[in-house]
Amino acid sequence: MILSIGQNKKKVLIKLLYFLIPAFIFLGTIFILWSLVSSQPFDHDESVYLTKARSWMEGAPADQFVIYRPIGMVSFGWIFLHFSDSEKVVRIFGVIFGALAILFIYLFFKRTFGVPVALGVTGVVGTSSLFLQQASRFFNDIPSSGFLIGVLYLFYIHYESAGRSKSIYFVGPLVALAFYIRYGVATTLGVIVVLSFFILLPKFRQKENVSYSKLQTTLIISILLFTPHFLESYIIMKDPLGILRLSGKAAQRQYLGEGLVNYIKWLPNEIGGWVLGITAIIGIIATIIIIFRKTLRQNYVSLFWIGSIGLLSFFATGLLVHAEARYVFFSMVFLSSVGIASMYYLLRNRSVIVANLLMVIFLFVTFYFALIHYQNVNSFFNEREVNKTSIAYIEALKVIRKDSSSENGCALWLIPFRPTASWYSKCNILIVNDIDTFEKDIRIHFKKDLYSLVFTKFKEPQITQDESEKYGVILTEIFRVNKLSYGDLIVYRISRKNSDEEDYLNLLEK
Amino acid sequence: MKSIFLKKILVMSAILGIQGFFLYAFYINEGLIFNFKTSYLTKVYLPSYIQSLNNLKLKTGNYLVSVASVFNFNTVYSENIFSGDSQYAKSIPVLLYHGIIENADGSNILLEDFKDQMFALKKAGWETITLDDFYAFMRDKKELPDKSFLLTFDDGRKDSYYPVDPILNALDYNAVIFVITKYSLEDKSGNFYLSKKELKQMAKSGRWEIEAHTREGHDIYKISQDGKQGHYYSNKLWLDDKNRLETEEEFVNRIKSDFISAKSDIEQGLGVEVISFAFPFGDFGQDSVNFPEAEPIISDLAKSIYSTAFYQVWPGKDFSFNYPKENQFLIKRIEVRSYWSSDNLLKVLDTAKAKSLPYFDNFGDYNGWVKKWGRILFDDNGLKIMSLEDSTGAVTILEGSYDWSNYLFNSKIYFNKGETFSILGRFLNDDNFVACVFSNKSIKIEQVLNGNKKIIAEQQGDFQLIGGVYNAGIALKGGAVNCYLDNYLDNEITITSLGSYNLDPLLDFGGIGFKIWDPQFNNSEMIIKEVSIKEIK
Repeated sequence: MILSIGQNKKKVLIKLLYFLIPAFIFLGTIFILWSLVSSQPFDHDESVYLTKARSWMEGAPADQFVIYRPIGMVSFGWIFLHFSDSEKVVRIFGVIFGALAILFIYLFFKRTFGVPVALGVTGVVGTSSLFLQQASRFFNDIPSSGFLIGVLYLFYIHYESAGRSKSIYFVGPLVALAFYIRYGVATTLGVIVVLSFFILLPKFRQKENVSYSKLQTTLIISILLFTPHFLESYIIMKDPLGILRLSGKAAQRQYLGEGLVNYIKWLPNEIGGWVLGITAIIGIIATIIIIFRKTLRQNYVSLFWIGSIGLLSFFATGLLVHAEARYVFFSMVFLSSVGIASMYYLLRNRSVIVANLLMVIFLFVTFYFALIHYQNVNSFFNEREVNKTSIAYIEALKVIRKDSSSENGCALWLIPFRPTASWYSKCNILIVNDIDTFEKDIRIHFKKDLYSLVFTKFKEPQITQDESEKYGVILTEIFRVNKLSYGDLIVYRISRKNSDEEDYLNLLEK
Repeated sequence: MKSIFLKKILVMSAILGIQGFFLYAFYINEGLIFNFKTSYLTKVYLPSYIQSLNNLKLKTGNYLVSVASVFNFNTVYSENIFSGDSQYAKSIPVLLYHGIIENADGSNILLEDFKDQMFALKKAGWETITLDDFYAFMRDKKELPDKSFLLTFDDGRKDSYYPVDPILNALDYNAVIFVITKYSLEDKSGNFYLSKKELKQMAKSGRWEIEAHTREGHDIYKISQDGKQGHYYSNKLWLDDKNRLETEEEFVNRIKSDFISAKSDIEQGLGVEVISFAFPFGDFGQDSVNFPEAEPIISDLAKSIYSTAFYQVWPGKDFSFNYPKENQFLIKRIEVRSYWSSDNLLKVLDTAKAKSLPYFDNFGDYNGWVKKWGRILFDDNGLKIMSLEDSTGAVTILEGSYDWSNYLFNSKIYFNKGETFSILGRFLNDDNFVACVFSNKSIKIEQVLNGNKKIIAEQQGDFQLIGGVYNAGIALKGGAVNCYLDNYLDNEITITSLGSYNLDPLLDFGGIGFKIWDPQFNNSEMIIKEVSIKEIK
C-alpha cells in the first residue's frame, strides 16, 4: 500500500516534471528574449514588413515591399501595429514565437531522442548567438523554423500512433503559418516531404492497423491553405510558382553554392557560436555515417530521418541562396540535435549513468557559452542603440516626417537604409540615378512634399546643393549633423524651379 | 462514417471560406480585383447611382446667377458670377489619355484615378460625344448639350482598351482611339498594342471609334548627320544611304504616304471610315528642328486627306476648349496629367468652358485665369501677375472668354511696379489681340494682328500709375474700341478715356486678359482685385 502510494507520487511527480520542464523552457526563453529586446531602430527586413502593414492600415507608402516578401509577416505586423508602433512592442512577436520555437524543439526532440538529448538540444539552440540575436526582433526565420519543427513534432506523433493521432490536423495550419511568414521554407518543406516519404513511410506501413484517412485530410487541408498563395502568384505573375521563383532570384547569390562555401567557412563558430557549430559538425559526420551504414539506418530511424533532413536542407539552402546565418537555423538545429543524440547514444550504449552525467556537464558548458553569447548580443544591440550615425539618421527621418504637411504625403531621395527610412519618414523612398529618372519620379510624386537626405561621403548620385541646378530644383536645408561615419548628414526640402505645371495645379487646388 | 465525412466537408468549407475572405481583403488592398469590381459596378452599383443623380438634378435646377453692373464695385455681390449653365455647349473639350495602368509611371493614368475621373465627370453631368457629333458641332451644324466632351486615347495600346471598356460600358460613354497602324493592323501588335481582331471587336461594340495616329511616325528618327533625332512629321529625315537630308519633295511624299497609308490600313483592315488623324507627339510642324516650313505643308497635306486633326495643348497656358469660331480643322486636346485628381480634372473643365456674359470675378475662387507668360498666383488681395528673374513681363488670359464679342471689360487693379500694364481684349492668341496700354506717360490702343503691332490711338499725359488703385477697362463693339482709366488716389477720381473705330474686322471676337511689362527683368507686378465684363448690346 505504502509502496503503491509512493509509486503514485512518483508518477505524479514525473507527470508534473514533464509539464514543468517545457513550461520552464518556454517562460525562461520569453524572459531571456524580452531582456534582450531593445529600442534600436527597426532593421531592413523589419521595416519592410511594417511599412507594408502600415500601408494596409492607413495607406502610407510601402514602396520597399516587393511581392516576394511574406504576407504573413505583414499580417502579424498589422496586428501588432494596432497596439503600438514602438520598436519594443513590435518585437514581442519575436519573443513569443522564438519561445514557441524553442518549445517545439524541446517537444520534438524529447519525442524522437528522449529527455536528456532534448534538453541538450534545447540548451544549445536556445542559448546560441544566432537564436538570441534573431529571435528578439521582428524577424521571420526563427518563428518559421519553429513552426516547421512543430509540424514535424505532430507528424512524428501521428507516425508513432500508426495514423490514429488527431493532432495531425494541426499540421496544415502550422505548415501554412511557417510558409506564409517565410516563403523560403518551401525548400526545407520539400526536403522534409521527400525524405519522410522515403524514410518514414516504409516504417509507417509496417505498423499494425495503419490508418491513412487523417493523413489524407491533412494533405487536403494543407493544399487548401496553400492555394491562396499560388492563386495570388498566378494572378500577379501568371505563374503559380512565380513568387517563389522571384524569391529565389532575390536571394542574390553570386554563383551556385556560394552560400554553402560561406557556411563551411563560418563553421564552427560564426553561424551560432562554438557549441552549436561543433555539435552540428558532429551531426553532419554522424548523418553521413548513418546514411552509409544499413544497420544504423534501420536501428536509428529517427537519427537517419532528422540527420538527412538537416543535411539536405543545409546543402540545398547553401546551394540556392546567398549566405546568412539565419537562413540555416533550421538545418543547424537538426544537425546539432543529431550530433548531440549520436554522442549520447554512443555513451549510453556503454553506460547510461555516464551518458547522463556527461550530458549534465555538457549543459553546464553550454550555459557558460550562453553567458558569453548573451553579453555579445546585448552589447551588439546596445551599440546599435547608441550609434551616432544611426541616431542622427533616425532623427533626420523624424524631422522630415514632422516637416511634411501635405496630405498627399512626401517623397524622399536617399541612398542608404531605404526600408528603415520609409518606416520612420512615412515617405516614398526614391533613388536618383539620372535626370530622366528624377523627372519621372517628380511627376509620379507631383503633389507630395519632396526631400533629399544626403551623406556627404557617398559617391553615388545624390540631390545636393551642388547638383540642384542640374535637377532644376531649389534646396532648403532643414537638418544637419556633421562628422558622422558617412560624412555630414544633411536633409533638404526640395522645391521645383519655375514649374508651370505646379503653378497651374496650385491654381486648380485653390 | 457519414458524420466524419460531413465533418470533413464542414472543416474544408470553413477553411475555403476563411481563405476566400482573406484573399478578397488582400486583393482589395492590392487593387487586383478590378474585373470583379467593374462587373459589380456595371451590374449593381451604377444603375442605382445614376438614378440618384437624375433625382438630384431634378431637385436642384441651375445655379442662381446674380448680375453686377460694371463700374460700380460698391455693389455687394452674392458670389462669383460664373457663366450661367446654358442648355447647349459653346465650346467642347477633347480629353486625351494613353495607357490606363496599375503602377504609376509618371505619365500614364492609374486605373483608380481614371475610374474616379470618369465617375466624377458623369456625376458632374459631363457626357461623351461621337466624332461625327464633334465634327458637326465644330462646323455649326449641330448643337450639343452643355458639358459635352470627346474622349480620346492615343497609340492603340491594350491598356487603353481592357481596363477602360468596362467603365465606358458602365457609364454609357464612348471614346475614340487613334492607332499606330504598323503595329495594330499588321499583326505586329504583340502584348502591347491592340490587334486587328481586338480593334474589330471594339468597333463592333459601338463604344469605340477607330481613327488614325500614324503608320510609321510614332518613332524617333535620325534628322542630321551627327545622329540627332527628331519627330517624323515635323523634320526632314537624314538619309544615310545618300548621306544627306531628304529634299522637300521627298519630305512631302513621305508625309503624304504616311497620312494615306494610316487611313487606308484602318479602312481596309477594319471596314470603318476614318475621318481624323492625331499627330504623334502633338507635333504638326510647330516643333520642327530642321524644317521650319513643315507646318503649312503638313497642314495642307492633312487637310487633303482627313476632315479633322488633333494635337495636344497644355491647359493653364492657353484656351484649351474648341470653339466653332476657331480653327475647325486643327483640334486641341487636353492631355490629362498623371497627377490630376478627379477634382483637378473637373476644375480644369469647369474653369475652361465657355463663359457667358455678364461675368464677375473677385478671385475668391479660381475661375480659369491662365498664365501665358511670367507668373500668376493668388494672394489675399486678388490675382497677382508678375515677371520673373528671366522675364520682362507677364500675361494672363481668362479661359472661356474666347468667343466674347462686344463687351465692356473693367477691372480694379493695383499697379505695383513696371513700365506699363495693359488690359487685353479680343484676345485670340499671342499674335492677335487688342490692348489698352497704360504707362506713366500715355495711354495707347494697340492692335496686334498676325503678330504685327500697330498703335491705333494714343493720348499723352502724366498719369503716375505706380502704387495706385485703378479702375481700368476696355470697351469693344464692332470695330470700335475704348480704353478707360479711373484713378481713385486721394479720393480724387479722374476719368480718362481714349477711343478708336479702326479695329481690323478679323478681330471681331476674342477673350480678355492682362499684361505687365518693364524693360528690366523681374521688375513688373500688378494685383487684380476684381473684374467685371458686361455685354454691350
